[in-house]
Amino acid sequence: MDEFKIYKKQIYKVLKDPFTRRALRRAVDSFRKNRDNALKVFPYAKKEAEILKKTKDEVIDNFDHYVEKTLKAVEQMHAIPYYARDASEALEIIKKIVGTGKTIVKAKSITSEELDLNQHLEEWDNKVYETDLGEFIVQLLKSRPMHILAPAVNIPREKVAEIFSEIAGEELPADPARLAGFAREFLRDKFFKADIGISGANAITSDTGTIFLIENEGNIRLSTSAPPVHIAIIGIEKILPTLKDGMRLLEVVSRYAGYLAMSYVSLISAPSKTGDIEKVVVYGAHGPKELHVILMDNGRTEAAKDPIVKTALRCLRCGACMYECPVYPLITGYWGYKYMGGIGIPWTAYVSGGFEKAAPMAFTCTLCGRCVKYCPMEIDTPKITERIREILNEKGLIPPYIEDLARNIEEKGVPY
Amino acid sequence: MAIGIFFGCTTRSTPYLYDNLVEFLKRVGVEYESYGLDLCCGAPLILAGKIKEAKEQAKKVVASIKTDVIVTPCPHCYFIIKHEYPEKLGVEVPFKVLHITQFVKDLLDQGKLKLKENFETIMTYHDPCYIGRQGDGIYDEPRAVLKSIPGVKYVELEHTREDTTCCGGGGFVRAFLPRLSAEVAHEKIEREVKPLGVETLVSSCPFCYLNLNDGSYGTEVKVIDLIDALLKGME
Ligand code: SF4
Ligand code: SF4
Repeated sequence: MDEFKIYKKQIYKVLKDPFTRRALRRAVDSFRKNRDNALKVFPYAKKEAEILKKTKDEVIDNFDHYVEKTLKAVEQMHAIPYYARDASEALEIIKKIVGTGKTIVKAKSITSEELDLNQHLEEWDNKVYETDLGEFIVQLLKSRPMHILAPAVNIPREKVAEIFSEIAGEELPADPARLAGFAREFLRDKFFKADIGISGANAITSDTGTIFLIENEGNIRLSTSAPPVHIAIIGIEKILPTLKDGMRLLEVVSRYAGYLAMSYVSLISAPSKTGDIEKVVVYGAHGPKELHVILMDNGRTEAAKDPIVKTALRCLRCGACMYECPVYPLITGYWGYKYMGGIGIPWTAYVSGGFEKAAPMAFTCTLCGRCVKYCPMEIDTPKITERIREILNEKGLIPPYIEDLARNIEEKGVPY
Repeated sequence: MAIGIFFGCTTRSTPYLYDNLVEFLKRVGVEYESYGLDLCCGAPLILAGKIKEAKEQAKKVVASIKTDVIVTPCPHCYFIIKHEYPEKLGVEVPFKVLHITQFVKDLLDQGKLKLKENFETIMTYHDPCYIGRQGDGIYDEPRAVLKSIPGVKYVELEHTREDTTCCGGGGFVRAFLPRLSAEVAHEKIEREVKPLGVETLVSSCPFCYLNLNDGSYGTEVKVIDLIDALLKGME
């Protein structure tokens, strides 16, 4: 079983990386401080989270209904709705919209990672710029994100200075402010020259088709408003019934991610338009002329069929579980494929990667249950992991050494 | 009435744990039947997703128990037999299941623990998941007995009880990625235990003991089992 061996080797390699250890210790400490403070200042966030959880469950249990409703709402707003059953359908849709020879600015989105979208866009001869600073660094390194909120969490500033200096053609100091400044300068005109902006979403509401985008850098705002075309790729689990639910999600995500408030929240319901000249409606006033909204299933409906696994679809990607996990900070996104950490196990199995990729991940969770306590959606990751292991067993995907122990019990009564 | 001691595979195969437990039971004069020496509780089967096989194992284990009470030093055996047998596997458990920490707390209350010897040390306790957060919240019992040992200066970690950080040994990670397990333990000891000046880190789980012990490398922290701590304080 080579997958297990390759995985183990990677895990053991990152374990020895002193930078990862130091950076993650710092990240965990500051996360805890910020999160505790945010929940102290807004103690009702917990209650809000409970309500949101019920709303999420309602949507997960009625995907068909909410998908239809959302697509209709999007259409009513003069945006263009699409439904993609899986990644290849989504790619086909995007290929038709994008075509070739375009410049594209991208806002951070794990949903687009499910499609290996950048790679495809480049294959179709387009130029793609990740505009989130962390993603930008990861893209230049030809690496992959190692944390859902802080993709470059494991990369030291010296390394960033080195790669930025290369594109700058001059020596840049390893100073975070200077490096961020360089990225800003470099990306600035890309936003305005780009033909297309691509984003994900934190939520989309089924009443008005409104997309919620929550961020701190401001790059999402620029990527989705400066170019003439905006494409949003959204997993169907992101649907919420109403705008009010979206506001609740905004509060919950922010507080549990350790923020009193996030810097920017964009609510986008329709393409930009004006009727100021003789009351003739013209699309594309200052913002995009076209808004394409792609709702993507890609395994989510399948996951929703299992009474235990379906709870994983509540995930808001606040990142709290990762910082509170005893394992994740030691190995970061190496414990993962597109989705990472304990919650990444069901997401990898059902949505992106498949059970083969999820198998070694499932045996990296100690089932300690610490994440459950800190998850705003009360997702019981160890319980889900045990369920995934049952399916892995049916598929013959248990690590060989563990198979041996199990066989010993059946034959001799004891594992060792 | 004799009780049963369900040793469990990891205690049985770790002489330090097994010998100490036998010695302890002798010193407190408990009569007991031995179980779980050649019959695993089935936890590894559940962890490997083999529910059908686990159920068969559970039936065998239940059939092997002849006493009204079993006491186990292993939180995994405790949790699996007490909760997973009936709730997950649908196998009735017609006897009472206690973890060793509950049992020794009873002995303490009955005055049967003669804790007279000085064990001068700065000590803390690591809460195992399966009698704590994932199990029945057995937090007070182990602390009560440890604090009764003369000479012990007990300190509490920042993250304890339902907030305890994992030893890293659970969920079969120790079998699949032993070095990762050890590093989880090492991180806990470096970050939480060492800064408090702790000399002795006590656990009451064979996996926690083995794993924390592996993870204590390069530090002055000594990892011991709760039964060993009691033996050090008994006359
Ligand atoms: S149960 Fe798994 S994912 Fe959750 S905190 Fe423990 S090791 Fe991490
Ligand atoms: S599993 Fe829970 S804590 Fe983790 S990212 Fe999702 S919502 Fe946040």
